[in-house]
Amino acid sequence: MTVRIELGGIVLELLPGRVAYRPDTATLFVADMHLGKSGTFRAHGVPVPESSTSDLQRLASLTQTNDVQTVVVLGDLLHDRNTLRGELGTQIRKGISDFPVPIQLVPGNHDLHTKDLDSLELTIAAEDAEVDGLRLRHEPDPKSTSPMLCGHVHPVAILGTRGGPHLRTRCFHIKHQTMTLPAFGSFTGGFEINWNDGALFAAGEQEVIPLNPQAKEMSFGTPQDPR
Amino acid sequence: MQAVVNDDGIKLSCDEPLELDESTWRQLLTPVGLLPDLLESMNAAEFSRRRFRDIARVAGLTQQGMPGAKQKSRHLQASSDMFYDVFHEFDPGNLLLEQAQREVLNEQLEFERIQLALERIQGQTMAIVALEKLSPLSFPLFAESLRATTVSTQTWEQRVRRLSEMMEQE
Repeated sequence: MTVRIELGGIVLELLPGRVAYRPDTATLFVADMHLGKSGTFRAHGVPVPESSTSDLQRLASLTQTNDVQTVVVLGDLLHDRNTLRGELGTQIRKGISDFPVPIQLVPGNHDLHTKDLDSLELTIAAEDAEVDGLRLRHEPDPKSTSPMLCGHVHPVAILGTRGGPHLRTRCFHIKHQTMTLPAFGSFTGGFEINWNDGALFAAGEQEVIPLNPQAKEMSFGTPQDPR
Repeated sequence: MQAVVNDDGIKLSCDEPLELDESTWRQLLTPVGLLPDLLESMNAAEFSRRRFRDIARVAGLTQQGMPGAKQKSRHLQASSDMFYDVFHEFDPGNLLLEQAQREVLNEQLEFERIQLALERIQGQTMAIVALEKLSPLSFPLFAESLRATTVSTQTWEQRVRRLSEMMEQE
């Protein structure tokens, strides 16, 4: 199930698979992929299997199942300053060149450290810009009054009580006019958002589920007709 | 339903009240069919996930450090849960995962001891007491449950819906 919300008069769909979609411009938003994070761990002698390339494939397949013209990455596409060097860097570079739709990167703190970032076949957007009525940046700006999409926080919600049955899930977080997207990367941690701190939507692989009353109030209907 | 076990007891917590009388307990604690039950429960990942914590530490995946010591390489920190998930998804044949499973069967489940205990229980009298608050022996179980992850038969979507309804009622 997809959830539809409105942010400053702009309709956005929260899609399964931890991405958001803007129908009127056919843009797919994604945040915090942290490609190459497991490579960084390996380079420091911690053996972790690779997940970056399959994360890119997962994103590519999400652009196929929805009518997507552009993908906007809200920062932290890459994890480490040296991610683009070496074999994995070549694979990531190829994955991005072969990507089915153009990618725009709003650079995040991790991307700004990355060497050879401009060698990627993507458009590097402004760090903070308003695009068709939506402000796009990596880190949330708490003072913002205009509708804004961002990442950086890796929001997660804790459902239930510790000590009893409980569940930790990545979530979309909307507060005031700001929506923070869940981290897309497989190998990423999370930051816990308090239950009553704005609207929380659980970001599942099959469904997006409004969690708290604020979220239920915001969400209006599932698009009935499949695109 | 969430289950937590230590040397002194078992803690089951579930969403709906569970009334168990003596005959049900006797039925649950029968040694009949123990081995197939155990093998099936191995599929519930929680045992090996918990075992994996220790293995990840010994393998150097997670760093504990000494209390008060300065954390080095903080950018390489990840919880053993994160490692477990990423191994499980992208490297299911990983030797450390296999080791976790093997250690659970050999060392944690200790089949023969379980069987002996169940047989002993069959001949013992049973006292069913509803406690007002935590008893001394149950406290460690409660503490353990703070860090356990739930083993559930429901899908992620079902659990999220149910838990968010629960949160609203509070």
